[in-house]
Amino acid sequence: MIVDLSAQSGSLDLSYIENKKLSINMTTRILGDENETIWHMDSSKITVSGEAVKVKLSGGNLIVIANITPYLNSDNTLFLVAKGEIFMTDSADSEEVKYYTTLKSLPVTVGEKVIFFPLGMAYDSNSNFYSMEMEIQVQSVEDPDDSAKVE
Amino acid sequence: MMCPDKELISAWHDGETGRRWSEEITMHITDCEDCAAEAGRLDSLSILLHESKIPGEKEIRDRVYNAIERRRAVGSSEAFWRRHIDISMPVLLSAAAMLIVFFAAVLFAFQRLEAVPEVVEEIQPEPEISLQVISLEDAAAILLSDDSGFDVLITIPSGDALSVTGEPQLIREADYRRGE
Repeated sequence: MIVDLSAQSGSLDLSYIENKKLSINMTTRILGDENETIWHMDSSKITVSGEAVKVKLSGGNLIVIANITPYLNSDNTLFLVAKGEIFMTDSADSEEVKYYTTLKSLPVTVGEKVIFFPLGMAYDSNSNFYSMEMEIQVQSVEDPDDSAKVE
Repeated sequence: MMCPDKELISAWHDGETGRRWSEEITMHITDCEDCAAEAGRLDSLSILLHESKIPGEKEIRDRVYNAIERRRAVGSSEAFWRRHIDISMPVLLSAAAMLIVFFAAVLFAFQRLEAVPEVVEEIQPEPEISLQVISLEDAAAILLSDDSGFDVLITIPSGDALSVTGEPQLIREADYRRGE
């Protein structure tokens, strides 16, 4: 016997989740020595309050895993949690792997932009390393049906 | 006074006659040898009964005891299904009701057991995932090769030039001045 879940969807009340759809808009940038943007990528993902968006950045000698979790409060403000994990080697030839992890949180409002530096902030512009930043903006997702009702 | 019959003398002897009859019979017995003999016989019988000396009492008691012992011996050797068992009707009805409930429960349980395997047979066991991660190098290798479980995948073009430069930060864009 195969259970058809679609047949049961009518009995599930998804309105609670539907009202908490959030869009995570991210712009990942690589900054050069002069803090100029030398590479960037935009990405977007829809989630619900409390469900993390899992981002994997990989290349060269490192892997960055960022879990961005927005929690929507009852007053429509947000509590943003960013968890970062880094696996990296000193060089592409090195077999020794270093691991870093961090967990940061910040209360924000819907639409407010925040910047996550998973590798840390490069204060010293004379460093030979590029720096990475992730600009994150959480926006609520309007249901087209609800918009039509308001109008 | 004429001689009273034996029943009247017996009643007099037992004190069951009235006062007038009792006085007359007492006077008669003192003068009549036959009635005095009858009264004496009643006295002897009364004494004998009060002493409880029943002739052959021991033989009678032994016979009764032997008869009881024989019946008990016969009863113990009788097959149990031939024995008579006294069970009251309420107890019998309660036992019957409990039996009915028990068999109904067993039947219900068997029906459920028959229904469950039909569902279980359709559930495929999850494949075993055996990751023998023994080091960070292995973990990094797995993460490099496996992109499942991630919502967004980004390939960094200049990964070799990137490094950890300090404590990771999460700040508002309004509070951030690049390069300062």
